[in-house]
Amino acid sequence: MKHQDTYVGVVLLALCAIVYWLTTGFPEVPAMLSQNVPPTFFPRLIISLVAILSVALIFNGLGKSREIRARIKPAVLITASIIVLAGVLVGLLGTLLTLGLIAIALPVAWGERRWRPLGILALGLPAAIYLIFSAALGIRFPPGLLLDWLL
Amino acid sequence: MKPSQIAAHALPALAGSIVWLATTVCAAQDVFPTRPINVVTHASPGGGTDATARAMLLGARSALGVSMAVVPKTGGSGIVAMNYVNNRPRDGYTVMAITPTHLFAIARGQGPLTIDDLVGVVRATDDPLVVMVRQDSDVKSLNDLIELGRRRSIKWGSAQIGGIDHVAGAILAQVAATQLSVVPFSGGGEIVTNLMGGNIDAAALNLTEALGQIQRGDFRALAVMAKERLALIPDVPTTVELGYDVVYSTIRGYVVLKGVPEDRIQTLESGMLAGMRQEAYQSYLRGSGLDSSGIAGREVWNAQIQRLYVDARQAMIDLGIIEEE
Amino acid sequence: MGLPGLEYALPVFTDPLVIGLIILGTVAGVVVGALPGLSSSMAIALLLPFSLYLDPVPAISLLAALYCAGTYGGSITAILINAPGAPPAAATAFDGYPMAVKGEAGRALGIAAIASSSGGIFSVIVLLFAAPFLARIAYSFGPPEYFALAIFGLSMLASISAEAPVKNLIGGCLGLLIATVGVDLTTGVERFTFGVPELSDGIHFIPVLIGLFAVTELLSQAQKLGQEKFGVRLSAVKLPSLDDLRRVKGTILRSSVIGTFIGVLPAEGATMAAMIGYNEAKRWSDEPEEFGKGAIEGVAGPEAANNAATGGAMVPTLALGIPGSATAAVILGGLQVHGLRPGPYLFDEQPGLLYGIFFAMLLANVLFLFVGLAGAKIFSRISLVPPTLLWPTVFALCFVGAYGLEQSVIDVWVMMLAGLLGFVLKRHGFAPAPIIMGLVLGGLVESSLAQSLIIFDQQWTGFLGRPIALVFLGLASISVLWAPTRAAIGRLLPRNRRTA
Repeated sequence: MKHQDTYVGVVLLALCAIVYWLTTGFPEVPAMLSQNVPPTFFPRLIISLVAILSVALIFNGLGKSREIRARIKPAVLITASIIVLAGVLVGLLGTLLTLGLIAIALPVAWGERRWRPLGILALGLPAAIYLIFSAALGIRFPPGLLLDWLL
Repeated sequence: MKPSQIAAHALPALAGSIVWLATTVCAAQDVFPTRPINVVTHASPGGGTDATARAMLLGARSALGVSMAVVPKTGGSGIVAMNYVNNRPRDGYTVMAITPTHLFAIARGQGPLTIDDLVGVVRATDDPLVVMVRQDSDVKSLNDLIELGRRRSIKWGSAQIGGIDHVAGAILAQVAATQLSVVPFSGGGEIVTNLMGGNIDAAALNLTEALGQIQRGDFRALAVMAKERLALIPDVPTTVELGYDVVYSTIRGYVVLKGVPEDRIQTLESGMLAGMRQEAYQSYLRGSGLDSSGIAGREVWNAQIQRLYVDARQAMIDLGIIEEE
Repeated sequence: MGLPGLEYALPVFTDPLVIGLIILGTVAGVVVGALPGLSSSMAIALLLPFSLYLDPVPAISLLAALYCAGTYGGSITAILINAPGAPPAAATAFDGYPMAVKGEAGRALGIAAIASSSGGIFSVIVLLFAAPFLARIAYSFGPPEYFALAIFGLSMLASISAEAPVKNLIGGCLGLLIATVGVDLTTGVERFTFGVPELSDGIHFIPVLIGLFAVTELLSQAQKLGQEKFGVRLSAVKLPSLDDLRRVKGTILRSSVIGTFIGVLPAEGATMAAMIGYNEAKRWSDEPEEFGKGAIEGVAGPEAANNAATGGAMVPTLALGIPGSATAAVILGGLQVHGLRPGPYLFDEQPGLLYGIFFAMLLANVLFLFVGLAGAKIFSRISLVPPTLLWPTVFALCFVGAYGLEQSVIDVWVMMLAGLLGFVLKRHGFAPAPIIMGLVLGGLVESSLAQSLIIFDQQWTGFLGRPIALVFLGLASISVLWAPTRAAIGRLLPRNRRTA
């Protein structure tokens, strides 16, 4: 097995190709707006740099053997899922309710079983955030479809 | 209690609360405004549009009796702001600040709105563009500048591609048959610095942005892009006097989208006008080198939006950005 | 010592209302600065309406105090939970958070407070003596000079961690590429926006910052669950020693000078100042290999620089009417609402106002030192909260912070994706710092390059005619070559003191 850097380099090269392809889809610029510096100029400059560096990374990795790393634990995947789920739920339940759920779900997923601190966090966190951000500083959180529907 | 009994008790209560809800909703329609009003801007905090909006809100808040907030939705020549406003209910609680830059974007067919969607409420400032160069430049007059552009292209500082100062320069170059390269910056302040540093030849700035430099003798104002001269710089000729019919002004005003009830527009108009008559707004205007002649009600403002849009379309056609229909 | 304008300072120091407002501004600034997603510019914008009921001097004193303290406040969360409260504190997290992990939160917080305060005081004193003169510097910086300065800023990528220069450069380029998302300044064309209107304004810096630092750390903590026995580390509340202060005084002075200079330049802000301050601290250190693992110079360097930049940023704001930073722009708006027109002649017409502001800033810088030192003992206890309760709270803060910036859910997604991506990248040896630097400088690099090329009529040789630009490009080359050269010298000359 080669060093992981080789594969990272290959992935980066593929990424460069995709991003380059995306730049070909930039709209045509009318003559008046173009000042001989087309919108593709800078991104393509950077993509070329990344491509060159990725090739260097691939060769770097070819000379080394695979590095042993700790496996990604299930806790990480669960945490990542909770994060993504929070992003989905926020549109539905609204910010404060979602945050309250996070305040229960994350500690429980991480093995916290003391119910009193959990309860305090689940209620206290949204309340504190509401007080500081909404009441005092006037930031309006999206109420979420649920609240919209209830009202 | 049996379930049926619960239902018997609960149903009238539920019905009652629905009636209560319905009446409050109806009441809310009669009384406007009852909730905070958002003013959506396309400019980042500190810019001219942002400062104008905040100064107006200070007074309008008390006139309308509700709190008002500035919601900055920056980017894309106002397109981000227009997208945002388009997704809000058309109930008068969302007001949008517009400048000619928005109209250019609409004229280019960008963004979700058409000109018919805009309903003017009040006009806030009328801030003509002034063509200026550095004091020690060889360019002494607008004609010198035009001559310069025939030898090599004028390096013209502009705040927003497709924005008003860009279009003003491009149209001037076209009318005067001269060459212009637009150097894009991100705001008036940057243009001032670069004009001062000699990195660009000329720019069209609001008087607000460079009055200090002109009065101090750092910049030379060549022409006001207006029909009439400005009181603060009475010696500077207008483009019209010099024979170029190129008139551009940063006009800032507020609109709502079509569909907002007529009485609410009326309430907003009188509230915002009252806000702008108060000392906070007036002292802001004085500090910016403006006077209250820019303030106007919706009749004047609506007519002007239509005129500005026709001009904006024509400018886009002249510059070859859009085709004539 | 004859401080200019001292006669104007007396009303500031004796008016209880002004003193009260400065204290209020300082405390509010520390809090707002510490919370990710709440910026001092936002807080100042919110306070603007209330400041209208005050006279200009107290009003602007309040805003200026908030500005100074807010820049310091960002370091608190950067150190304690790896979530910089404000962009200028990003570089503080590089070494501040490792210090907190080692159980030295109080030491890091203390050094941050002292360095911030020193940097701030230094820059205000410079401001007092030389504001009108310094303002002229702003004029000699055009697009070519900014391009060269940005390249100089990026040149530190090669040296930021010696282990993986190629990966650092790739990270930096990724940052530059992320910065191209949105409307292109030169042509007005939308790039990489995939039809999402919110992206036309570009990917915001703060959500990426919060994601890459705090959310990535959250995932790393999940990976470490159960491995580290959590224990109460009483050393966490210990403040820095006198010996620590002796160690960082050179760093603080150097960063103060850098920060003041960078702050004066309108297109540059405290973030860039902090990055360069960090890099220079590392470059001149005897133990550069300690950086990133919890070196106190790595906290002092950026913190002194970013607060020095606040004073610097007021120079063009007041003397030219050109805001030196986003927050200074809002303060400028505050002056305008009071009917004042900042500009070259404000110094002649309103000396009382100007010197009043300067002394208010001076006072704020002294005040938050006390708030910071007293608070360090309290704040540092946060690092004693069990991770199972602390990190969910941190995530909630990140969530609100990313959202609060523009009140946009897209920013929340950006924050989350940056966090997930950051975890994967970290596993493969890519540090977050280069990505952040690329993102910070990306817009400036691209726009200044494009502007330069238009000004030079597409001739790259135009740079040869710009001496200041050439100096910075030269420094950038030295910066890139410094680390390898130093390493080579180190191999040739055995250094005995290192083995002790």
